[in-house]
Amino acid sequence: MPNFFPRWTNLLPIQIGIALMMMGSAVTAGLWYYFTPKYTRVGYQPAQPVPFSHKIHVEQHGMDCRYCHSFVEKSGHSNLPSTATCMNCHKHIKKDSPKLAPVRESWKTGKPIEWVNIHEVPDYAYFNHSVHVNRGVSCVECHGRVDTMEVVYQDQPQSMSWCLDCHRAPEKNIRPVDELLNFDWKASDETRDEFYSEIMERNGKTADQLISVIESDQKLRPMENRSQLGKEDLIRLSEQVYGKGEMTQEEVGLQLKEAWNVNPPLSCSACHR
Amino acid sequence: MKRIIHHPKPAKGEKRRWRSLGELKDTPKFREWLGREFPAGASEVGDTESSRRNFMKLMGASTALAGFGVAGCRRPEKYLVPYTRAVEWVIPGKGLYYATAMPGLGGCTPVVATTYEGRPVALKGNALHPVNQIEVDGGAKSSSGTNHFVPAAVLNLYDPDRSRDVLAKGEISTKEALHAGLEALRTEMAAAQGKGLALLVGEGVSPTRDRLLSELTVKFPQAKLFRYEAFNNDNVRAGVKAAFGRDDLSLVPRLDQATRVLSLDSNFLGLDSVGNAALGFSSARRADRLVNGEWQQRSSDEMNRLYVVEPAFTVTGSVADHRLRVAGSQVARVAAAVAQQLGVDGVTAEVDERIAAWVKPAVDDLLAAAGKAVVLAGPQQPAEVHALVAAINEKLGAYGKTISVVQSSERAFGSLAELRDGVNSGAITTVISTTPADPVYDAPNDYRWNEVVEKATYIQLGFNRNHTAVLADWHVPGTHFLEEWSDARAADGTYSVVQPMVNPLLGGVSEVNLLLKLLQEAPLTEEEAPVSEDVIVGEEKAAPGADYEAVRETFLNTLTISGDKETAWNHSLRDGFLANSAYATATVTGAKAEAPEVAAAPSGIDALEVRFVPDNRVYDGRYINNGWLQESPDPITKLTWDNAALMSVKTFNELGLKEDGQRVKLAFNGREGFFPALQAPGHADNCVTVSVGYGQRVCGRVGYGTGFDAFRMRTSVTPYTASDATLEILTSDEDVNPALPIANHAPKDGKLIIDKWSELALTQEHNNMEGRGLVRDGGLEDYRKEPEFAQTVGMDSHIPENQHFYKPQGRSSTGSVPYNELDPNHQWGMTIDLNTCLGCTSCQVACQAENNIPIVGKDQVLRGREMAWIRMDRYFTDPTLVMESDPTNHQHSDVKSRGVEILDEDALEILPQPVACQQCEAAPCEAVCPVNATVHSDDGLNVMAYNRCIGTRYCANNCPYKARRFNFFDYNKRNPIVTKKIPGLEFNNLYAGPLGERHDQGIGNLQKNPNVTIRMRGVMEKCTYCLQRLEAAKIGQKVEARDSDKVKLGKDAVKTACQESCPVDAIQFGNIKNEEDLVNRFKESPRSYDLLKYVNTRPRTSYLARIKNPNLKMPGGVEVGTTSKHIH
Repeated sequence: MPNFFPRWTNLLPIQIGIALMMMGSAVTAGLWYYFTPKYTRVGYQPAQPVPFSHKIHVEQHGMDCRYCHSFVEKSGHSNLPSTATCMNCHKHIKKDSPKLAPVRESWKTGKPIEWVNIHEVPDYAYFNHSVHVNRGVSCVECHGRVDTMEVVYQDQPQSMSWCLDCHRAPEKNIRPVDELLNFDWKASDETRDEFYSEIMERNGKTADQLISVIESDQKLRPMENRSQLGKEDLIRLSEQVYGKGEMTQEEVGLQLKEAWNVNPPLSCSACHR
Repeated sequence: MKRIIHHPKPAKGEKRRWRSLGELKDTPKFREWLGREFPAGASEVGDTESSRRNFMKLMGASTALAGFGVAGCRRPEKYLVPYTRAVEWVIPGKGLYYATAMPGLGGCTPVVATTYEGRPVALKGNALHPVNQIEVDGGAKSSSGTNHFVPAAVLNLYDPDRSRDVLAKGEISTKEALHAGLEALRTEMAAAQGKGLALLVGEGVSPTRDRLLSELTVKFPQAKLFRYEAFNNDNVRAGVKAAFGRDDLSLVPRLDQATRVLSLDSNFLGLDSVGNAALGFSSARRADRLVNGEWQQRSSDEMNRLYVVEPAFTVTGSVADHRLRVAGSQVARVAAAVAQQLGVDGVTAEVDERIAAWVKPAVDDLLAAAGKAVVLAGPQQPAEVHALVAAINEKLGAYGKTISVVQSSERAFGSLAELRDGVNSGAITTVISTTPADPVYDAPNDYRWNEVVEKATYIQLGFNRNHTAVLADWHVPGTHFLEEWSDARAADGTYSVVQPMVNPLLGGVSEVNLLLKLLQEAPLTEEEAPVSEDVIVGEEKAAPGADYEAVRETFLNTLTISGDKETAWNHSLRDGFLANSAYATATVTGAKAEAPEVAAAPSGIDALEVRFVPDNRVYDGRYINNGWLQESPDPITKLTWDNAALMSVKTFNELGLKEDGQRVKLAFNGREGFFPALQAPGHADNCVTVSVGYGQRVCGRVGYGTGFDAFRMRTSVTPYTASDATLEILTSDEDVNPALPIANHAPKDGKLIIDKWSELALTQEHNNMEGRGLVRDGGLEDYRKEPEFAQTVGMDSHIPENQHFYKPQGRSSTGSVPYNELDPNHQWGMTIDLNTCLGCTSCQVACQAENNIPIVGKDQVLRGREMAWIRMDRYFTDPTLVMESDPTNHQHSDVKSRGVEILDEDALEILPQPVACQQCEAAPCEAVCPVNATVHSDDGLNVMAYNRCIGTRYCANNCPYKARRFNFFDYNKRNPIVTKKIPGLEFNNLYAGPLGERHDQGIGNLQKNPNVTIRMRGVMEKCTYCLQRLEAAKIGQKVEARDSDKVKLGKDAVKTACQESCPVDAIQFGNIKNEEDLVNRFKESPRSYDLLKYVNTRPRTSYLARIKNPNLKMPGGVEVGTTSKHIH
């Protein structure tokens, strides 16, 4: 019987097998990555019906987030502005801009503008804006620097594990309520003297109480003569523990968490009803 | 080794309580229901070859279908759609509450509607309204409780089958044509001075309607006014008029002031309620009161005592301390006997020994409590009885004390009979009907209303496309009361505003609009005016509609208002009523009454008495298409999706009937009805009760084909009671001639096939809990002697110290922190007071609305798959039935060996008990879930993560309370009402799987509560204590706290849906970590007990034992409320 196949073809089945396996792995890996919570379309940046620029409105004109997202502190949903809200200004400014044509059209016809949804929480998860923004979680923690975005995109994965990371350790992400809309805020902006004065005043905490927060967190041996402890002792201890220079997020967060009784729920029922 | 804990065997001398006669007799069918939660199908894959093959086939199919899902890999683009112009008050995601009123018989029900973005999703009572406020023990008390029709009414708004088109002689027409027709009519009538014009309206008092009717009679002086509803207050009004000679009087019972109540066939806690009677009654019913946080027993003179005389058990009868079962026609005889003993002039009565022995001590008791006693008669009793009762109440000194006599503003109307005569004689040529009734279907049969409709020009305004609508010359689609401006008087006369929550969804026309249209040139509905581009936001204002202006005009011009009228109007819109607008009270004396004529009592099974009563679910038929009501079991019979001929066990056996569901032919006077027979223990002998409202042939898809029409048997001579009826058991399927010749709606070849056997979807044996001492009761004297009696009933009297199924404290992941300490601020708990619970199922329906619970249809109910989270158990107990022999086998029953004849139906008592998830601290369900889908939350709830659930149903198997419900099908998506047909096969739509028909996705979805997940197929669910409300309250508190640490909720900060809807405040809910919360007081009550305490699940829901207040001089009085004593 003649040799139909040249010799090199002997390896062909193995080569095909390996190639198939590699392709299979690649497809699996791709799908795996696609479905993983880590991916969850971070960077998703769809085109919107109106080329609205947060950068111009917030960064240049200094508008407050709550001018448009007016119920974010009151409701679970952070509402989008009604067409009327846009028209409050755009009846006078950029009246004829072609970019604003859909807004004027909506104003005329009464048909709402259909904005493309970017941050999507599944129907079975009940996220509530108001409880987060009122308790020290700034917009920037979940939405990134929207104030600098020309076109909004998704900045954080917003997966369940990402939610839980913060719910398990809220001190990493909370800040004083006065700084919620200051997206440039860093823990290092705070000075210990002012920060602790404020917390003692606003929340009626004594130096002793604040000291014991640090002590129990760091598992230190409690100081003695507790009734005589003052703010100086507190600052001394904190510099000792967290380093002399600037304040850290860990320190700020921990104190706020204790002072406000921040205790994010971890039960399923907190989000799934 | 596995430990099996057996329930102890029934002991000698013990008394039994049972849910069904099957349980009492211990039938095999009952044992199957007991042993397996879902007996029918689906739960097993058999071991035979054929079923294995079936299994492979099924699996193959689902694998193939799985492929379809992959196509949708990419997430679809979704859109966020804000308002163009923000709506006043609306905050997206937050509920808004508006006060309005639900019109109806016995005064409107003031309600509060919860709306989300303009969609009303739930209704509850308005606690601010005067009818919902009473004084208890010197303190004010208010309640948002209502009957079950109120929470269910919201579903009607979104009924996809409700009327949407103008019909002209049954054919779809246009609004423009109707408009033109009405214009022509007005011109014609104006010329003819209204000659030949008749208006037919429904029950209830609406000041605006009355004003417009008055204007109408000025404009058309010859027009005539009539009123009709199938169940009405005509007899009550006629009785009061006969007694006092005045027709402006209305009697409103004040049951909170009454310590002795005698009901003569009045279901005043149920369908015959006037105002919020249940609230007043329950406050006087309390067996104890709180004094400085301590419970004090009331004496038997302070707690009320209820005597009930009735033919069939009603909600009211089930609460009674003493109940006399007599035929409906014999109630008048009892009334006369009562009057005779009280010395009402000229009234004598002949009664048999049984009745005399009952009446004598009862009347003595009433008389001893004169001034605090009241007698009530049912609206279906003849006018003479009402006159007699008026005289009786005068003798008892009730007026001004337990009955307030008010001068109502009800105007006089003609009756339906007069309208018929007018049409037949040609005096009336045009009928404009706005009554919610459906006279072609529900008017007395001898009126032949279908012919009346054809004779006159008949314009019918109606919410449903019903029998009258398809025959009328014009049918105008009506509005739901949540879509219209109107007003109504409550029972006490308080002016209440009916305001719209939403524009008419399907273009309905309101009664006020139609009347206005007759009066003047006006559009039928409000068209939305286009807003011009130049309008500056905030300045534009939609022009108010004519109906709004009409109601406002009534308010400003006809009511007596103190202070600024504009302010009063605004306050009335906010509160839902005008303060101090109740009717003026009147004083009455010298009630005249005569002895009523009483027919002979039905003597045997060949001359039965038939009673026609409104149904507990569909009422007079108007709720036929309401799935929530259809599927909520009747409080007494536990029947769903059907009506039946109810009769006593004795009569049932004498008639030779063998099993519930056997079809019988009821006949009298040439009229026939075919009903499934159903034993109703405690029914009067030789009597049959059928509820009306079923068997409609022109109605929506939900109601079509349910039950059998009883209205067709009713005549004007025998509207509520008919005598000399015969009953025949069907031996073969029968062709029935449909009573109503309705074009296009007659069954094929004019026949209706009635099966000789009808499977009744009774839920009484479903989810049965084996074990005793579940529901506990006792007499008041026993309670005073031994307050903690309820805690030592049954196994609870000897619980071993160390007995526990599950690890008692703590859980592994959190080390030694006990369950009830994880959240130090909030731990939820509930108490249910069985003393006041009526078993009315209001909580069940409210729960359905709040938690998006689907209906499953009759077929699924038959398989025990109803989804209602609250199961309203109803137990019968016979205190005279004592176990004789010491039984040898487990659950052996005396009745099995001796037959049901040993039941004493005179002595039967009913004990209702709502059971939902008990939120065990040591929950058996959690231990067996393989995927941690059911876990414990920090605040002490047993929660379900639906998305984790894989549907093993282990948890349901392990739940000792049988409180879990499983979605066998996608009930929320697939319509369970539809029957699919392929050649040679007929099956329920659910079994068609993804090929099945979907629910109406448009209008039907609007009712859903946005805060609760819609569950899909294969997921377990159960009561969550209204988790969404708990979370909303906690979030609200945190928002309030902001940068402070005050995150703990205040006193009684949350109410669950069931608690809000309970008309008698039997349900208390609160935070057991907040000492101030009222629920803690109830938990401390000596009457408090846990269900199956000896299993040591430590449930968070506890029950308070029912206390009866028996009169020991009554026949059988010493036995009342003694059944718990003997359970051990």
